[in-house]
Amino acid sequence: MIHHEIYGGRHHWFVFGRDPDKLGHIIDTNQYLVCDRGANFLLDPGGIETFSSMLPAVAARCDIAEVKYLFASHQDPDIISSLGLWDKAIPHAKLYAPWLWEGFLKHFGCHNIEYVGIPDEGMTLDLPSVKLQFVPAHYLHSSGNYHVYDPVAKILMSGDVGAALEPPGAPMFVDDFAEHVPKMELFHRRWMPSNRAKNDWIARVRQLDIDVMAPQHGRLFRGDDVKRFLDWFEALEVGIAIPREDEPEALDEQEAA
Amino acid sequence: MTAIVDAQPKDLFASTATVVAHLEGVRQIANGISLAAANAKAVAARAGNRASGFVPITNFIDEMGRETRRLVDRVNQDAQRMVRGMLAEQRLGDALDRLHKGMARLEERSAYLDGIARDLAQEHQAASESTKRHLDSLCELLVTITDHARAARMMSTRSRVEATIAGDYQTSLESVADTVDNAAEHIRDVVMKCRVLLRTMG
Repeated sequence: MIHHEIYGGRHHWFVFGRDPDKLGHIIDTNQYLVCDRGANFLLDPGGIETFSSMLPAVAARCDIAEVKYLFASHQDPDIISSLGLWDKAIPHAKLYAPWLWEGFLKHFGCHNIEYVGIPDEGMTLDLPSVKLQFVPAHYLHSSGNYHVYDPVAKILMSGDVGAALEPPGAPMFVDDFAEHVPKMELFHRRWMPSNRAKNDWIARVRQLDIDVMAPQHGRLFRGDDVKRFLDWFEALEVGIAIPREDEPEALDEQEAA
Repeated sequence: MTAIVDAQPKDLFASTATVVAHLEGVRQIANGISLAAANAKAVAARAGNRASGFVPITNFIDEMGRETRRLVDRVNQDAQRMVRGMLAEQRLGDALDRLHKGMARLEERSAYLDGIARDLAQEHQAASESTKRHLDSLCELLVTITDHARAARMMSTRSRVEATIAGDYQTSLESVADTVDNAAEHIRDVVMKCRVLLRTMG
């Protein structure tokens, strides 16, 4: 598991991904860790198959016993199906996750870890050096969905927003936005269901001061690429599995099928 | 018994489910035995003194039907408990395995994770022993059902003897004895299959 520091100040952010031991048929994921003087926070810790790689990677960056908080942006297996394993490894921890998914997520096994349901409007988490914000991102793509904003590091961990489908071993950061767009397009048009939800999220995220946007798949965006992404996403029509009512040809084709 | 405990959990899940399904059939047969007992009681009542020896037999058969149903219910409950325990055992085993794989790649040993792995191994061992206890209990219950079926067959033989002095009612009472005998034989066969299934797993 490759791990990079993406912010270093009084607290630190790390990204984990591009796991060379990953089984070929599962999607590559980015996991994030915030280390803040004995209060360590693991974001979207990954699936069952990622656990054995994540454990030593996290241990290389902090004391596992001091991982006190977990976060799940939503309920997908690549996000949090490792919950039952972390439940054994860090039984003292708290999991911050959408209130909507509590009864569902506990199917992964959550006997020791305390589940803290994030309300629809979001909430904050106080670490020693920073007050992290759980930013609502409902319907992007899950019906109960949050991102994490760090106003000190100016990092937005953006879950599936900004995700790209790429071959193994892709670089960690976007270096040519235009070239990166085709790798994101299908993912966003198909996985994101609601233009209204998308535009609502963009309007709120534009208010944030962001240096790095860190999605759960693919490359991270930094600097001007964050704005480029927001502009691109704003113009993108999502929810393509359902034809629009003002596109009669598409509806006709569907009916004919 | 060792073969059962050493079996892979997925085999145990499937075999336990199969045993439960077979025993549902046994429950229905036991219902049939109770019905036969009720029928025999009615015939014996009509036969009066000529079938007086038949009354305790029908009582026994009726009781055996009820006891078999009770045992089958017990087996089902125990099987459900065992499946829950096996699931816990499998999850703990998987967690332990993945934890060990992760720990093997640590840059330096972690006393904290060593402790977690030790606790997990103990939990896994306890779950494994619990599965074994449930399996033992399940097998004992199956033996008890077999014993009941054997007793029922002996009783049906005695019924035939009693039927010979029942005059006009002989044929009816022999028919009841045949029903009980066939049912008991069927139960014994099914339960034997279940026992073999549990014994030969793995």
